[in-house]
Amino acid sequence: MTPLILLLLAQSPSLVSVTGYLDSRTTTAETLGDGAAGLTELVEGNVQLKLTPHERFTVQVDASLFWQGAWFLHGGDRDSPQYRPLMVLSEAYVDATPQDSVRLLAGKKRIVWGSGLAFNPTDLINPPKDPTNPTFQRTGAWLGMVEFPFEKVALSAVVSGKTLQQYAGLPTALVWYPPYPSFEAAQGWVPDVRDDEAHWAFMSRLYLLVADTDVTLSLAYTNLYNDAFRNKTRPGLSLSRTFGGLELHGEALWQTGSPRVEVTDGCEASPQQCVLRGIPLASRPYLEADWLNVNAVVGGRYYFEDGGVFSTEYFYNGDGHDPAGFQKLGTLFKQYPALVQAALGASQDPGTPQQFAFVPLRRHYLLLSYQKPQLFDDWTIFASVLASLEDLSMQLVPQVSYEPWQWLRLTLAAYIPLPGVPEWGVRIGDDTYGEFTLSPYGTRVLFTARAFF
Amino acid sequence: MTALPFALVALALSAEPPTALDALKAYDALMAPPHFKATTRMTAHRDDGSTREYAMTVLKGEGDKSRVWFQEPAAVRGQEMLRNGENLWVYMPNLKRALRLASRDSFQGGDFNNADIMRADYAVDYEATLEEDAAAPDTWLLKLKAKSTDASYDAIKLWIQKAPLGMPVKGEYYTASGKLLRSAKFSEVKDFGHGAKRPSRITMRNEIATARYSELVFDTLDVTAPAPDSKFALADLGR
Repeated sequence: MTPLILLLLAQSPSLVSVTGYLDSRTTTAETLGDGAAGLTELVEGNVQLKLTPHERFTVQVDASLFWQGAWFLHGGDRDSPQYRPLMVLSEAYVDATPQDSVRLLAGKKRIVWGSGLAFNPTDLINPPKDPTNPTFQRTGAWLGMVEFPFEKVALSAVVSGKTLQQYAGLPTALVWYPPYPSFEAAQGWVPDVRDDEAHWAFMSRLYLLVADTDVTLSLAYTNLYNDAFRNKTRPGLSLSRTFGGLELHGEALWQTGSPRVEVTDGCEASPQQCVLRGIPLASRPYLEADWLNVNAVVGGRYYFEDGGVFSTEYFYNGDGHDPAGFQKLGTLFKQYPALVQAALGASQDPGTPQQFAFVPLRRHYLLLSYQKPQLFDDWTIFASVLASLEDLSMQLVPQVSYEPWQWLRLTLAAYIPLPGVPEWGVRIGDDTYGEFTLSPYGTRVLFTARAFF
Repeated sequence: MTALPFALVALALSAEPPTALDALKAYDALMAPPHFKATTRMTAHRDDGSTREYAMTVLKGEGDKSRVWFQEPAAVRGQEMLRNGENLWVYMPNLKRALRLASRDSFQGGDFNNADIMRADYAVDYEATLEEDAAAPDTWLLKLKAKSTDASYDAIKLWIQKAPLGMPVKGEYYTASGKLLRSAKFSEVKDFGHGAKRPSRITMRNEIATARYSELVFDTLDVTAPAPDSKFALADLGR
């Protein structure tokens, strides 16, 4: 697109909509493990551009540039790849409506069909989000979509290719790995994880508005997308309805087997011995299992007359560990966190940097949150607690926001991990850890200043 | 769509008082034509005397369907709301998705609630009785009682002009216990063209926090604008 065309578009506000924000996040933390940063600064410049050259055709882009810095690292200051500047292309897509009830979309977009707010078991393609603040994650997946939307019915089909390599927010390998290793892998800096398989997903859904209830039936097929399943077909169901000031919702995904990582017996205590004897530290023994498994969330929100909102969600993670499995995984993780993170698998496109990365390892979780806006007009208080119901460890997030002007929001938040019941956690020597205290961070305090434009 | 105004004129000229339902339908017809597109501004006046301003476009479709696009301020730009019957959703750009909302929730933290903006079809939600008001002989007093708990208020008193019938003057909005929550003043009647003549300014006072009030101003109102059903589909939000 030439600068002249851009200039012409910019002079027509009905054709161009630009918004965004400049955000500064300063975090201080109690560090408990090697590499954890005591002080970090993250500055984000975000632009959201919407071009509408025709009422039936739009182009939308949501992109962010991040500058990051980290100091006072546990174990000594050093260069850390995760704190380098980066660009995140959250969304970039063209959206066409050739007829009223036909929609075609191509590009990168975050599509969430499930009704869960903190947890979405039916979401199989997007980067993970922080359940204590889902607004931190804006990033979607590269996909093509055909949709037939009607007033109370919609039928959608999506094909998505997994980002296998990306630089500066742009993919250099989608669906298939290139036939040659990346420069970093060739140098031996990172393992060469290539394979010759197609990493893709197909998702379809039927949305119905029935008896004032949002009903979404979905069917997904994935092959080595955001989990280790090959050729996996999974049905899903999502419901949402309001009763006066109360909203209730549920969302579930069914599958056979599980991609759960199990640590080999004995290897959690002496992984070096296992490596020397050629025994794999961990495996996924249930990938091809035929037992029925489910991941599900049920929850609700209550809207108070004074504008306050109370929200709760219970998440059942069918891929989670039993106490014995968690003891082994937790023991290995506490000693070799990078090893376990590699075994669990990390997305090549994690999306927007998250304040709290949640990887559910157990089966039962409960999220409670309460928000009260307009305290003394410009203040908002918010508190959420994410608890593992099996050891009662939790992440507590109290937060207060102040908006001195409509374009500026200042937020002070704390992320406080609580250990729960010692007897129900992971025991390593004389110490016990809950699921939310395995992290190399103790309490963190975050100050955010966000200016909108 | 021209039959209704003639019927209203006929009712207004009639010596017989209108029925409560006719009067309520006359109010609905003035305040919520079958379909329209409007550009509006809302100013929320707060306790400390400062203000918060919002700009939005409202599209109303046939039946109980409406949609709002927020243009200002920047912090809510891209946010949308959709109403279809009893169902209300808000599209949040930072979540990239829509969530269900309750009708009674405050509209952008101002003194209107969601249903005040997104729904004005009172004949569907309320049972009405009609009375004379000795203090205001040019008006009828419509007393509305909610048919269900899903309605935005449990009871409403509306003062509407006898001629033209249905033109609102003021309103009071109550809880089930009879507590006055809000009061409204309808002013600056404006001819928007194509027979659309109605108050262009609604001032809603918060009777709990009495220093607070919000004003909703209709800058334009186009009753000829198309409002296809596709604009009121959940899948269309965020486009």
